[in-house]
Amino acid sequence: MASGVLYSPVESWLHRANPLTKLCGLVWIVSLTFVLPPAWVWGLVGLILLMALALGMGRAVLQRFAATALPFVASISIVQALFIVHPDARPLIGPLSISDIGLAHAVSIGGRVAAIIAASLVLVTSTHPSVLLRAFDAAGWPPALAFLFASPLLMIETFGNRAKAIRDAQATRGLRLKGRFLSRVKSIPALVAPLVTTALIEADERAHVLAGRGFRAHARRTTLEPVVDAPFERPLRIVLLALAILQIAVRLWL
Amino acid sequence: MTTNTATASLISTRVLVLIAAAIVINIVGGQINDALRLPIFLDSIGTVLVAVLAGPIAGGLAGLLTNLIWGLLTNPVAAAFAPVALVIGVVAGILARLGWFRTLWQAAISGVVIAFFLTLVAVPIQVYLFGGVTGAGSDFAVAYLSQVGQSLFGSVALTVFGSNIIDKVVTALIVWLLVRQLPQRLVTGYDYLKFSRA
Repeated sequence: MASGVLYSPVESWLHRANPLTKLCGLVWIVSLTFVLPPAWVWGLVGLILLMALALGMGRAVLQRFAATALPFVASISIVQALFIVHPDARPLIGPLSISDIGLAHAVSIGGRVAAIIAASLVLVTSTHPSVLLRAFDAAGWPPALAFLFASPLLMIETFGNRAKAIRDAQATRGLRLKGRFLSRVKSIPALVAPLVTTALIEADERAHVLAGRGFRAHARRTTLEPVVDAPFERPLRIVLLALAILQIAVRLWL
Repeated sequence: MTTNTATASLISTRVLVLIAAAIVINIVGGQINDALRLPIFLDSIGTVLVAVLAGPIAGGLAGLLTNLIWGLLTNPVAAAFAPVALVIGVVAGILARLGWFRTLWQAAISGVVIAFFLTLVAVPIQVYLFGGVTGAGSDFAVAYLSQVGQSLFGSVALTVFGSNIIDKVVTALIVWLLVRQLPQRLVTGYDYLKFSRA
């Protein structure tokens, strides 16, 4: 499967849940971050991360969360509290000023984004892309759309290795990967052209194979290994989506 | 059967496979950029290529799905910018239809136009959803411009446009070069190409 996939293969109720239910849960959490007070949103971040730890995927989620959310929170705190000039700005050091409004803004937006990142990471860490695609098939997605999601996931590793092989081969021929900006820019076509040419050759072959198999002959695809969908999950999805719509409506109303 | 027939008439199976390959080229483009240590992104070569070969709908789809898959694989923040990637593909496709990928200079100007339109979509997302920052190095530019008196909206717009203009001009020029060099045998059947080959 694709390299760099965040999926963490452990046994948990969340891993067994239908990916569509988890997607609805993510939509609900995203909408929740727009109606909860900032302190509650940070509490929600803590809860999501604790849940990831309890379910045995803490390492994967926390590492990625630290790499994605922490730089964002640091950036927004610095920019909002120190650099943007708010009405209550007080001089701090040199040209910098500090503002309570800016800090409050940073806590609010930082918490919201951190919660969305944490919830998204729990989703992708507990859901293998292939299971998500089977869930889409079972839900009746058109084969073309499911193909567009599935095929790149299956090709990334091959293309990554091919790009590396092209880079090594061109470096052996004397292509300079270091040096001045312009000379590095001039190296791009030598690395990209072989990759694109091969991709176009394969696209032709794949299209013929797919057409031969009658890939788009039917509006819906069947799956040999259906994704588990517990009896309570369908009503749960409806409730989660209804709550999300309600929360968005409340946010727009207030 | 109706839905499927409608999709099939909109995008052929060949273009569908091309879009899938373009999504991977976009993702791998980032790795090539890392190897060259360039201060650009190189993550829309596939999108612009599809737009030039197969039009704005296919280009937009390639861009949109690239960011959604990126979000699914490694970085959820990328998914929030999926509309930006869609706009890159749509604008590149429209420019290709208007014949703006025929010469080197037209391709360079197309890169600037793409950067302009992506800025229009990226700035509201970055300001209203992320408070003006993304956790990347360009946040320092936002901070600096805010400090020297620009509004947050203006700071983000200047930063997004400034950090994308070189990237999109380079991307458009690479696609222009590729389209000129690709053997006819490989590109026969891509209807939009006739608008870009002089």
